Amino acid sequence: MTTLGKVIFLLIVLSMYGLSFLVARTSSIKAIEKIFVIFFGLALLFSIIFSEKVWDLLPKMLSVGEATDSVLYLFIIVSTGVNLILVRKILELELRISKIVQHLSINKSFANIKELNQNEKDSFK
Amino acid sequence: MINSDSLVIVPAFNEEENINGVINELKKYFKNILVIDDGSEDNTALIAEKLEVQIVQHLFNLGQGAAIETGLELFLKNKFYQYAITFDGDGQNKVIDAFNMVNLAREEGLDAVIGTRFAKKEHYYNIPIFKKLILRLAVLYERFFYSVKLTDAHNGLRVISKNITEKNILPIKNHDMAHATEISYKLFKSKCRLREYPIKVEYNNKRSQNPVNAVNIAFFNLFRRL
Repeated sequence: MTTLGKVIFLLIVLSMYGLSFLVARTSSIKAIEKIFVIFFGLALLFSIIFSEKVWDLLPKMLSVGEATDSVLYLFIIVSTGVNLILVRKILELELRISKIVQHLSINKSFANIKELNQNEKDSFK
Repeated sequence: MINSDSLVIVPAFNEEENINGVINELKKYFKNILVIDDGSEDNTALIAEKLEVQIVQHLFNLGQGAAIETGLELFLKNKFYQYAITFDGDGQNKVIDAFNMVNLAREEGLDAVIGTRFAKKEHYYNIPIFKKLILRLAVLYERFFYSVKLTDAHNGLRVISKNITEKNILPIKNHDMAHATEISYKLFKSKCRLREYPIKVEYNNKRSQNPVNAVNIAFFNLFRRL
């Protein structure tokens, strides 16, 4: 792989991992995520329709020896990035579920407090 | 009544063997004890209920960080409480240390007092070597990534004032064991009046945290961003 190819791949890796790290943070990040999905979908479509040209251009663009190599590299990067995005989203979901459970537990605890004497009731806001 | 301005939060998960001893010991020094049964599958909640302490039960296991967060939320709802004490339900901590720590906070007007196993040599000779090594690395990790300058990382015994809990500690993002780094980080970030207090920890409990879990903690701390 040439130096230019390494730089291009490093940029792809950094943007994928950066995106997965920031995922679900703001609406603009979510928009970038969608643009990525659309971009990869179009790239796939393009590679089917113009398969011969893509097969010829892709290794040149990424400065790798063969087209199959570039496909493999891109697949590894994208799949790892998608996995990281999924992990991140699972963590966010876990946090939300935890919040629901905590809320229920606290409410139940307050219901029990109501059965206690007036002094204890008064100590809670 | 003794320490009526403090609430001892005891997160417990499957601690039926230890919870009885922990609560009975705590009752000698503290009036207000709150057990957070974090989805235990054994009789932890039942035992705690018989001992007449306040209990909050999570529907299923959420992690110690979530248990402490639930406890701190209840702590804030009571107008008489001034200090929250987090106290491990596995019996590793000494009640006398918690008592001394809350007294120190009260006397010197501190916002937080955190227990440390590494202040006195006689306190850390009994820590298993591998655990000691991991804890030392964790201290460096916290110092490097979060500028947390403590001599002990992940100590479950801490006293936190109401003010700092309300303004800086809640909400806790890390619901697993990584919450300890998060709490320390938030305390340091708030620039509150903080002191470490030498404590002794007993390692008789076989269910003590596996030191390898430090890898998970480090990863999730970085991944979640505090």
